[in-house]
Amino acid sequence: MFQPEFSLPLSTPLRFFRAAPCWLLLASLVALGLPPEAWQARFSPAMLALTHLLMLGFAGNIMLGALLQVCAVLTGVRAHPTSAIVLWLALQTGTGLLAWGLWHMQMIVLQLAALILLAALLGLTLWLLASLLLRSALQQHSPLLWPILGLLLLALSGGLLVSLLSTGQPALALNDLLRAHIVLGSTAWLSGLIIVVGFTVIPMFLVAPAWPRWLVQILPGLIFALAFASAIDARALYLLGLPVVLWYAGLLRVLHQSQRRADPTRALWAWGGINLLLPLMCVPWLEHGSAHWPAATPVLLAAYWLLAGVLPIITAMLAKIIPFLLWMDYRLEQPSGGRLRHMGQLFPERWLRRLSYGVFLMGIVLWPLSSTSFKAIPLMLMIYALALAYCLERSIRIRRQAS
Amino acid sequence: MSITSTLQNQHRHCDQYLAQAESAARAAQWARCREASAEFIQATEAHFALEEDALFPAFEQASGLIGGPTQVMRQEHAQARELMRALQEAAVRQDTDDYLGCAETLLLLLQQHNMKEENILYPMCDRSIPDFAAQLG
Repeated sequence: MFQPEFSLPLSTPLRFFRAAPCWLLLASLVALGLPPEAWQARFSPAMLALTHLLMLGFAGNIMLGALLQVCAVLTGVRAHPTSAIVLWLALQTGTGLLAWGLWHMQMIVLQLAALILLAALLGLTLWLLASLLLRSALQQHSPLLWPILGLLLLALSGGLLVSLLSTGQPALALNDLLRAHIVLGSTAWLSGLIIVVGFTVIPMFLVAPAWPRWLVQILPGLIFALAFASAIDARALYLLGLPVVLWYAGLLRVLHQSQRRADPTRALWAWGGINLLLPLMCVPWLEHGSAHWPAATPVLLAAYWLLAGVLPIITAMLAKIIPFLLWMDYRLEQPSGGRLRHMGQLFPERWLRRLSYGVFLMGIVLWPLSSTSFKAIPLMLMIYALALAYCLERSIRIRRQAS
Repeated sequence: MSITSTLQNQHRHCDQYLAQAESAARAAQWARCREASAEFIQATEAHFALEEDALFPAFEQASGLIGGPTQVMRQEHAQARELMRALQEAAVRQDTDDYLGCAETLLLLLQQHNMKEENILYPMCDRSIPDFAAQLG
């Protein structure tokens, strides 16, 4: 159910969206400083720090900002502005400390980071789950429950990993716990949320028919169940691609029926969707036949999933959500007339096109560049981070100047 | 047919006209764009008039909810009308950027407005004024 009257103060999601490009810029600077051979070892301290800067700092900020906004608008569950600031502060502090702790393998810093992130994410997810379940009892079950449950388990597995690294407890196999953490983060949480948000924003932004009701009802739970099964037993990884294939088939159908065929976000969803799927399909073969692959393959596959899968979809979402929220906020202040007649004045379509070209280019050249001119990858990422930050900050400035 | 399904169909028709007008503007086919824009505005105004002159008063009378969801819908109609005026002006000036900006904003505004009506208001109308569906033919 869509309830825009429950939307949050604009500053709440915006704070998360504005922090994200800063982390991306930092991650690209760190990556630029790494020697090419660093990419051979996916669990080296430097690679672990870099991964968390990208997944927690960049993707985490955007997805948490989107989650708070979507929960408010779709279900009426609204975060209190002060709690949202505390969550934002905890996320930034925790990410910084975690990356630092991993880079230098300083256990005390890692423990502090885990404590901050666990407290913030457990608090958020438990509150969201309780609120959504309470509403589900009154209205209908929300598919958002599943990615939130994924985030809860991701935070818990991260806490267990830090505990295992620093104290040797609990007595679990490190590889199994790592697999659980990665699959919960990449699939149950991040892909799960992208899929659920897409159920609403694609029909809305691209003027397309609604997704089939059975798919909306079944898919989020199925993705969570298979991600959870894969976290427990590596053999379930073979099945993980199936719900994503189902989602991609539905996505192509909806995009085909979209009435806004020239909208740049249409291609971003199609390209991002296939690249969320393909690396997932490769993972089980990589897990069970790692001896036959070059050592850098897992890192490159993860980079491809992020750059060619997550990044296009994030770009598509931000380029619509931010200017529309800014425009709606302006309209609340100026109910009629005013200098901002439409959202194109805040975020022109040519900005989105340029961002899209950058995203497509990064995905296409990632593999060839990884073997020839490795440093070009972080350089491109840096240009993208700066461009995204520019678009965001410029939009906000135009909105402020219009008041 | 219920109120929800009849008026939902009207929303889809209006969306179609606006998407056609937007495509024409992208292709710089301004005569076609002005024609599709006029069709869109005519269809949307007819739909708004049906709601404001007949559906909302009937619902308000039956439910006693006078300052509630119908008031929010009327305010959003006013915002849409303002954007429709800007859309027509941009089509006359043949200003592609301005036209596309107005069209996209209008599309998003109407999509979220339609979702509210289709998921909240129309089902309430179906329950409170079931006989109204017959008037929609």
